[in-house]
Formats: sequence, structure tokens, C-alpha cells
Amino acid sequence: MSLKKVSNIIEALGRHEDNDAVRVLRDLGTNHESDEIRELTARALIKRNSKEALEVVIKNKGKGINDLSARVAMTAINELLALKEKEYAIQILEETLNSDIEQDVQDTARSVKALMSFSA
Amino acid sequence: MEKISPLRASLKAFEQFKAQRAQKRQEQNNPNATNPFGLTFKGSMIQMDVFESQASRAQKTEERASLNDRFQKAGKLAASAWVSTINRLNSMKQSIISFGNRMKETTINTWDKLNKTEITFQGLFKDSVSSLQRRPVVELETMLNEELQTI
Repeated sequence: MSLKKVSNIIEALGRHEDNDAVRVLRDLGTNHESDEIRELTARALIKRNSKEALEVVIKNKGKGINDLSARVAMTAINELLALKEKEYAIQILEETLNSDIEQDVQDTARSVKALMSFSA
Repeated sequence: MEKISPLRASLKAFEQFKAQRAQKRQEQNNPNATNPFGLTFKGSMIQMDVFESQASRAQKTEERASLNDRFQKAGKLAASAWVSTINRLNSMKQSIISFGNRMKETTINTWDKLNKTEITFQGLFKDSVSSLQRRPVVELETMLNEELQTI
């Protein structure tokens, strides 16, 4: 496997104008067994900074900030904190806190929201 | 003791003077004293100062021999120096020739390699993010799927 090529494809999907790219990243990237691929996918989705892309990494258990791998989760959190425009991210975090999603996901969203408010 | 009168004394002195003069004349008339064979040079008799003494001749021969030795030694030194210079020049020439041959071979190999090499930028930028971004999502999905299956 050429990791460089995979990385380029994931980044290209993250920048793609077509919103269908989010579906591809969610289906292929965030479900992959390799931590590295999941990390790259989470980073690409957060950089996209769209509602659909951020929902994938914030609201879903085992993906993005809720990933079982600490490395992937920390990368996702760092990317969220590094966003220049955080409105969408905070909005989705609040939606997550106000929804009936699993408690673990809500706890993570609360922590990340607190961090984002500190870093803002 | 005999008494000598002034007249007698003057006569004796005259006789001595006369004898000396006669001896001198004899010497002048016989210039071949140092030239016993009467050698002449262009009709004139060779005088004694032309001839060299045996000692001076030997000394001169020695000097000449020593000079010859010196010249021979100097000649040998010069010859050896010249030989070493020639050897050095030959070695330099050989090294320059071998260097030139090496350079020629390298240049020929590089030229052959360049002739056989095709430079294309298509493959270089084919998988760049900007070029991938212009492709349809379906195609990217297929590509990503194929790449991920190789893991």
C-alpha cells in the first residue's frame, strides 16, 4: 500500500466540493481497522468544517473524538481546537449534549466543548 | 796579505764584467737552451716561456681531470634529474589519459542513460491532492477502496 497515495485521496475527499465525499470518508475511512487511516480521515473531515463532516466525528461512537484509540481521538480534538471558525463545531457539540445519544459520547462532547471555550 | 793597487782592482772588476757579458751573450746566442729541438712556429723560434714545466702540466692535467669529474658528476646528476622528470611526466601523462578515459566512459554512460530515460511529469503530479480533488467522488471512492484493500 502507498500510504502517501491514500493520504492524498483522503485529503482530496476532505476538500472535495461534492458532499458525497463525506459519505465515502465515513464509510471507508472512519470504519477502517488501521489507526493511521482513521486518524487521517478524522483530520480531513474536521478540516472540511461542514455540518455533515463534523457530525461524523462528534456524534458517532467509536469515530473521531470518540475513537477507541487515544491517538485518533486526541488528533481529532486537536484539529477541532485548531479550527479558525468554530461555530459549526460548537453547534454540533451542543446538539450532542442535548440529544439522547449515549452517555459516553455526551461526556466526550462536554469535555471538548469546555476545551474549545477555553481555547476560543 | 796582498796589496791591491787601485789600477789592479779596476782591471779585475773589468775582467769580471767582461766575463759576465760574454756569458750573457752566449746565452742570447743560444736561445735553444729550453728548446733543444729548435722548434719553430711560423718561422720564429719558440721561446722558453712557451713550454710548460712538467709540474704545471701535471697540475693542469689534475685540474682538468677534476673539472672533468665535476662535469661528469654534474652531468650524471642532470641526467638522473632529467630521467626522473621524464618518469614523472610519463606518470602524469598516464594519469591524465586514464582520467580522460574515465570521464569519457562516464559521459557516454550518462548520455546513454539520458537517451533511454523518458521524463514525464504526468506520473509525478497524477496523485497530487489538487489533481485528485478534480476527479469525481465515485472514482476517488474506488481508488481509496482499492488502496485500502492492499493493507
